[in-house]
Amino acid sequence: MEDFRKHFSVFLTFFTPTAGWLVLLFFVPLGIIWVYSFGENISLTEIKTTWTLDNYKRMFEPQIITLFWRTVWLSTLSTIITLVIAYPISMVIATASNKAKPWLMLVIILPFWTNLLIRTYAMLNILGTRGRINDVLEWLWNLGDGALDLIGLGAFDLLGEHFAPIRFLGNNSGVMIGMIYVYLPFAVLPIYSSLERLDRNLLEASLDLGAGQWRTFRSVLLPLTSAGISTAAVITFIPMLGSFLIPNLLGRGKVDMIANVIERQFKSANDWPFGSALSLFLLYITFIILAIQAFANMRANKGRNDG
Amino acid sequence: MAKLKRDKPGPFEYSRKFSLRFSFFLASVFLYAPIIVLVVFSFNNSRRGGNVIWKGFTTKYYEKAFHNDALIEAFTNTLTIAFISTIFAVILGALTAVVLWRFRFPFKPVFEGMVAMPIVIPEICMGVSLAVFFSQFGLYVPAGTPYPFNLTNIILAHITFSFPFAAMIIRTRLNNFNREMEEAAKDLGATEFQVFRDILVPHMKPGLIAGALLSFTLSLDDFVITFFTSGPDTVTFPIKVYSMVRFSVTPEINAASTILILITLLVTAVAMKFQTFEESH
Amino acid sequence: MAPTPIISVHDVCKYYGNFTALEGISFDIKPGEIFVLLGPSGCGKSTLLRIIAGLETESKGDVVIDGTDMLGIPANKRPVNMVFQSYAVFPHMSVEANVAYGLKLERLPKAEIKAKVAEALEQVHLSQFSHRMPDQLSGGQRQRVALARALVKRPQVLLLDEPLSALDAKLRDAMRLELVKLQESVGVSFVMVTHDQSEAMAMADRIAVLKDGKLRQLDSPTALYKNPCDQFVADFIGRINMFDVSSHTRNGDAVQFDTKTLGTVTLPASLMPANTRNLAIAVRPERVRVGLEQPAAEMIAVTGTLGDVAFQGDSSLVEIILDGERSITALATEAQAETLMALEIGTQVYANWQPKDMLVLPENASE
Repeated sequence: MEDFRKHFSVFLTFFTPTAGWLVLLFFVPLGIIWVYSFGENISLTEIKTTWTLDNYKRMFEPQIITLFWRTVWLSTLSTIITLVIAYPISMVIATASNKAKPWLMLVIILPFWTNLLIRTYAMLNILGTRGRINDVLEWLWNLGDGALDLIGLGAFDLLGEHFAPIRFLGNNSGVMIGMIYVYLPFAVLPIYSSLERLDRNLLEASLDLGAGQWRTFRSVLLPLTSAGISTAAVITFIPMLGSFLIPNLLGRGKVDMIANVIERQFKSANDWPFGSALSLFLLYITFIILAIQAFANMRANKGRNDG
Repeated sequence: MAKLKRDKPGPFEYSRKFSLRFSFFLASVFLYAPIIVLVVFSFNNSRRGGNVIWKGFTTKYYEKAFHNDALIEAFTNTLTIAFISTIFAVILGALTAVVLWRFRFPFKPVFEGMVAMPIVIPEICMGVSLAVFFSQFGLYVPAGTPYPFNLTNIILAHITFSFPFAAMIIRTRLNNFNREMEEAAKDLGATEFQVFRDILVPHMKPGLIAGALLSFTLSLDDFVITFFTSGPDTVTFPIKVYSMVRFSVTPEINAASTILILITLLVTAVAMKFQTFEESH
Repeated sequence: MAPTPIISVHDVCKYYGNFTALEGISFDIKPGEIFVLLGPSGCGKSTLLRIIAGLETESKGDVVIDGTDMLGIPANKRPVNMVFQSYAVFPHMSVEANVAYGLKLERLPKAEIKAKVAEALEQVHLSQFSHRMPDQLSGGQRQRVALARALVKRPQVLLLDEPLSALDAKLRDAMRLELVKLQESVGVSFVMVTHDQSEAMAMADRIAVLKDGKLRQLDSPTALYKNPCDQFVADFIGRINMFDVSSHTRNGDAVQFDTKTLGTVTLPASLMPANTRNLAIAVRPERVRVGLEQPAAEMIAVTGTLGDVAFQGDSSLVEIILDGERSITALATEAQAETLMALEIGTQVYANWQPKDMLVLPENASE
């Protein structure tokens, strides 16, 4: 690497377009909504920046707090479930033969290349009360009911009188299933690469010293892949927190998350200042999460170097 | 001792353990079933969408989709946006990658963080801020602007979110560039520009192509940011589908979605093919 | 009476699909010995060690440790512990925690664990590093952690997979000695895998030489050197001058061997091995004398020209070029080497040795 002053004109030729683009089309827009977040609507189309804190105060209204709370816990729970599913998948890919590895990886990654809207829409087909999941469940119900009849327990209606479809759309479960579905491939990559880097001898050493499979998993495998797990958690949690389409389509307007309320401020309620404040709030949460992760990584590295 | 079957998986051959294989299988079903159902029901001879029972095979919804002018227009818009934004994203990405790879300058970590920001922040924040930005500066594209300039706002937005991804990929490629090649070229009399054109760009080429394919798919995939930056006359395919879905679920949407899935698969296949080609050479 | 073996390996085979990694391996390991599995890379020696450890399952055969058949017993339930080639020291645990890990799994009381860990670290001279993390240690220190971690479990047998290969040359020599001393003080058997014959010779009580998944010879280092069973073992262990035999005829107590390089050589029949396929006759360099005068008639002699003399400290390797392409190596003492070095390269010399110093070797004794 060379000092930028050595070939200053070359440096400028490369640096200016990028930096200029980023500033103009990324930071200036963010700056504008930052300013807007201190503004008021004075007429239907005019916003005046009065440096009021009202928009931020409104975040402490009970319904907004409820909204934040719902967004956070839906995302947290979905992230945890995603990680629990992603870990064994990653284990399989990481220990597969070199020939099978890229194909298994492709199986997991391919859906990620498909349009988010299409995937969410596909989920809509599956999750309805007359959707495919309920079809399968009804088939299982009939099977179970028939079996009960066969063993002479039919009269007791142990499975209920009729098959009752499970509602997924318009409630938390549908939104969570949708988010897990969409972000699962994200979680697999970092966990896989941390497993891939791991020296297999470490696991064998643990076994050799008397630990069983489960103990080895807990004391060696999990701690040594914790960096991958935390990266996976962050890169699934952040987009989940900002999900708009999934709660919008699968929540059927009944399970709002922050992004849905933000969208409403801009598209229908026409309260841009409040929408801006909400967006910035979401942005700050993102930064806090990233900072925590960076800090944790730094401490982990430091702990190693200084003992 | 009797002959025993001892070909059981080793203690850490997770990929050979039934329970783990089975969970991989279940996860794959989870990932693919919805898409397969969507594709299958695009051939369903039923007026309502995939939510009802199979009523026989038909391709009429593909015909219908192809005769839906609004849908075709949205589709063309999406591809145009993807093409144009990809070109710019790759150029900007390459410049960024070279800056980060080659130079040491004050506040470099800050600049790196700035470049990474569009990747990490929630899409909705970017969508909202760009929407406000375009309206604040009166950057409305006036009605009747000739194609494809009517798509300018969306294209600008797409370049902004995709070039950092391209930069990341190109930079990885640059990391294994041998700087002595550059020195050798200079030693032989090449100017800065000639070195860039004759030595660096050819080396970056696989990275540029990979970056382009990624930018292209990102652009095809985007819904949220487009949702905030598109106007009533500049509808893209996802936006169109979204409004159709909100209205009602029809097999026509399934058909249109299937076509987009096919295009994405094609791009991915090209990317893969190219990657394996690069690896084998 | 021979002591009961601590490990008994009986007819162990390992197949990976069509590939045979190990075939029909049998041997006993005595309590308190250093047993070395020696062979070129890919000979199956590490696989064998891993089968003993329980990290891999044999396709056929039995491993009995301390009287118990190990079939179906996983690695974590076997009374043996291993030092891995990469050491496999847990990077997220301190030195102390690494050594304590195996003891914690035995659910010993805390105080006892602490005492045992301290003792083990003392043994490998790491007491002052107990709170360090592995990435703050040198390669040699990490190896000691791996040793302490395995030994603290008081295994019946300690398994070492190429324990010295990752160390630099000087440290390697020092560690050889230290490992032997350590083995003497703890008294458990060591089973060590190596591809380095000098390491095996320096440390082992007994060596098993493996090639292509088969056991070629099992003997003490001296016996292997003096009486190698076939050409592979002779060549693998130490230096040797080997001459292919085109045909041989027996004449009572003597056998005549026809060779290209030495012509016809007559040797006592007592030297003949049981297997006589593709024989070669051979002589170790230290048995070969180099002189300027015609040697006595009873000696086996060959005329050649003096080649390079490679100084090795207390001795020198002398190359005698026979016919432009073939050569013989002799080991000369310091005094002899000085005389030879005074001569010009290309001087005619006589390489000679006594018939009793010759070895008659089949290509592969076990075929």
